[in-house]
Amino acid sequence: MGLTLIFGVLGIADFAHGDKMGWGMFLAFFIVSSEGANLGFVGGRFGSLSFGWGLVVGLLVAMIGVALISVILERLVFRRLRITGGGFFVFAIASLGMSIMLRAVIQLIWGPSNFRYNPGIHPAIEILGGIKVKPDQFFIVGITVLAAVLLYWLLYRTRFGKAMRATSDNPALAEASGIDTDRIRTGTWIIAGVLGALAGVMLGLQAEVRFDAGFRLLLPLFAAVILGGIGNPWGALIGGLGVGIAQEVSTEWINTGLKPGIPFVIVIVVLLLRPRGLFGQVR
Amino acid sequence: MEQLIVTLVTFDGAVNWTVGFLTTVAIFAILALALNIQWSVGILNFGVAAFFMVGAYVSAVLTLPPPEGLESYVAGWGIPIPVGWLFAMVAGAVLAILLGIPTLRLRDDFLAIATIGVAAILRSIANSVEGLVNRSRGLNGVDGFLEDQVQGGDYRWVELAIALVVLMAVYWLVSRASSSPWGRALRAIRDNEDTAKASGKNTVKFRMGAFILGAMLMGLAGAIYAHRSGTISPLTFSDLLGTFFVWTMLIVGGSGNHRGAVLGAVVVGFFWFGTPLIQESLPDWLGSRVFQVRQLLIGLLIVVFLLWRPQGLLAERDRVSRFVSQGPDDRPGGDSGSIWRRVRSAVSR
Amino acid sequence: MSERDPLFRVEGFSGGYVDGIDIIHDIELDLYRDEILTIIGPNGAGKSTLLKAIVGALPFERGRRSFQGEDVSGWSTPRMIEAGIGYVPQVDNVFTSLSIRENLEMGGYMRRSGLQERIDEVLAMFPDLEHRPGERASRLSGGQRQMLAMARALMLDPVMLCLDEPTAALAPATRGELFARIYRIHMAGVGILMVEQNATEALVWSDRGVVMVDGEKALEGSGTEMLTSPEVGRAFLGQAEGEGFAIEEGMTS
Repeated sequence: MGLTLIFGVLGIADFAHGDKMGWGMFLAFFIVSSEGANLGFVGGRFGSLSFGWGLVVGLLVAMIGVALISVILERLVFRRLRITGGGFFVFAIASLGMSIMLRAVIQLIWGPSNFRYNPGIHPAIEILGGIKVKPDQFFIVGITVLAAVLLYWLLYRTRFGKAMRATSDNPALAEASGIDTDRIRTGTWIIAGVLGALAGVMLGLQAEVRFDAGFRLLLPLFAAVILGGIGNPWGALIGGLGVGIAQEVSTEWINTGLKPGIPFVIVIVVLLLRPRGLFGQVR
Repeated sequence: MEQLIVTLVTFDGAVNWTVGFLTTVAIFAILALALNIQWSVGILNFGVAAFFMVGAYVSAVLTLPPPEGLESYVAGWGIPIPVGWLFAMVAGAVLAILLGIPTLRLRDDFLAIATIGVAAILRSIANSVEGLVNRSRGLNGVDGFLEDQVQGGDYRWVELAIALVVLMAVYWLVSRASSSPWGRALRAIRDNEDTAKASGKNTVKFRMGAFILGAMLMGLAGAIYAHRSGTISPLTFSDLLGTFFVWTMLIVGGSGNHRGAVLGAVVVGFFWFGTPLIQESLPDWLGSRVFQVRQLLIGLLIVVFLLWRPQGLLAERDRVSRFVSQGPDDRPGGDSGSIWRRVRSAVSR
Repeated sequence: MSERDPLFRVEGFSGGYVDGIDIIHDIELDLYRDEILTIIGPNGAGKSTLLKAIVGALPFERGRRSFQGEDVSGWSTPRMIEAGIGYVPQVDNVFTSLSIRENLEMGGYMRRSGLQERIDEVLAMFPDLEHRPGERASRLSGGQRQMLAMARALMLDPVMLCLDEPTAALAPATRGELFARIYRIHMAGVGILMVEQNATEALVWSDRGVVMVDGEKALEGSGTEMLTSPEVGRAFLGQAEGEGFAIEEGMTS
């Protein structure tokens, strides 16, 4: 969703988004892990969930941290590029460059190993029809839906959100209307950063914490954004669900190793049939 | 006496390294030239690794003998190596056509995503489909061209010669191509797609042509790489080395400029492949992390160049580089048009 | 400020998009609150450029512009708009992906209070828009879009409205309706400065007309003078020699 926001509102395909998620994941890990414990962030657990206050603090730190990274990169790089006048290409390549840098720094600090937030086995509980779900997964789904609702509320119900959409639609006219488009852009990066961090932490909770996890997710992410229609938060949510389900279900018929290819196939099919995404609106 | 031997050894080592380095750089220079052809029509290929990989694998499986023992791969017909190269080019072209048909008509950003995706999917196919290309074990024992005719130790000179000759041929080809009417049409498309369209040029066809040509050359580079290194595995063709590295070369050297692409390959290649040379002399804390630092610096290099020297080391003569001023139409995030763009729109009022 | 002081004045005004290349030269122009002033002229004469200069959207300018007696030379567009000048560009003048109401909210972005009241007031001026404020602007017809663009510009209660070819893409029937709407806005106390290609029609509604040629002011006169002047008619209204006044299409429409 963060990605769709940047893509849609600012028209920048941020290839570094995946690695910002990676940063969120690791910042939270830093807090929950032993280093964090030394700083006093040890927590019990919430009921049957696999984490406690440590992760909540970690999530907050991750959100702030990634939002900061986003803003710094936008100030240092994207804003300058906008002034010197660069096309979509320049933004895309620059973001790819930053993606590589962010990943390298993660490796420098934490090394190439994989981690878990809370080692150990977390039993799944059975819900209807024998489907097993881990309590953490309930939490993840709940948070995601909450984030989508908040984002929708922000974009469609607040003055700032409407100004974001206006800036996306017609930057020149927005500026002429007295909207401080620079502030709007910065705000967009912050929100995207926070969402990216959230996604990263959730991903770390669900799977492993690894340095290239964010980058690996980039293609599914773009697939979800394209499937859902660029710049549309509901679309991104449903697109994300769609891509995720397609990936999992596909393993019934095809080799598990091919799973990463599924998003790509989806991208191509959607591009051929509905270039604006399933929920894209006609302009 | 001992002193002399040491010198000889080091001298020999230096020569060895230099020959190997130049061969690798020549191969990457071919990739950079190929990418430049695509880039020159505004095709954002983020999947160079895919074409590189396809070329390498196709030529390898066709020229290898039938699989034995634990190995399992298709073909294995043992055909002559130059024919394998040809097939590598064909394979690159086929991939370009398959990918270009759905995406070239669409927005530029979709092509970028599609190409980055095709690289990912090809890697995962190579890694996981049994009996295709020996999965993650990779293909080993890929023969070099004329390798059986030459004494073992001297073969590296042949490799270098092959790479350089092909590089020169490719350079000649792309230079000819860009000074031909076809090349002029490509530049017209890059500089202003609408105008080019209006003047009756079928831009999709031209872009497709450039995409295919670039893909063929990337396939060729892949084939040369495979026969040179003897061993290829899906890991070789990572996004970092296979795609991003080539982009860095192009941007550092100067995009839209063939000499720049080659120069970029040398400079960035030296930076990258030279790092292990100094690794031992670095303090421990840095030496152990030198590869991550190298990766960081490559990312930094590209951003720095985009910001401060967008035209690269060698600026495109008489023509404005793709990275310099562009109109607001090309920049969805932009808020004010470039000066010339405004003049044009003002004049057209 | 007395009634006959100009609302807006430009003096010795030159400027363009690039330093050193002027598109408009040495323009003198007054606009009074109680008039509709139309700038006509051939393509490339610098009409739109002049309008942009007035609202502070031209990167390079020399000379003086003043608004309500105050020197506003060098003011940016947002500042000019806040000061009370509404500006409707020729193209891309609405947020297509936003609803009518949201467009108006954005028009009133700088308002500190009374936003909702003003939206209702402005909507009341445009019956076409009033009964469906939730409609996305992309679904509106050309004429309705132009209305919305004007409504947007009215959100900050401007005393002066600058319109860049408001009828450029409209069918003749819609054009008349739009001019009538502009006239109504004017009667509510807003000085109107517009650039028009549909010169004859626009001059019928105007108190005064200015002809620009090659970036300079070539002629000035009342709307009727312009319409009946053989020179203007021949050169800009597409009339043959001796034909005199006739309602016709502008030469470039």
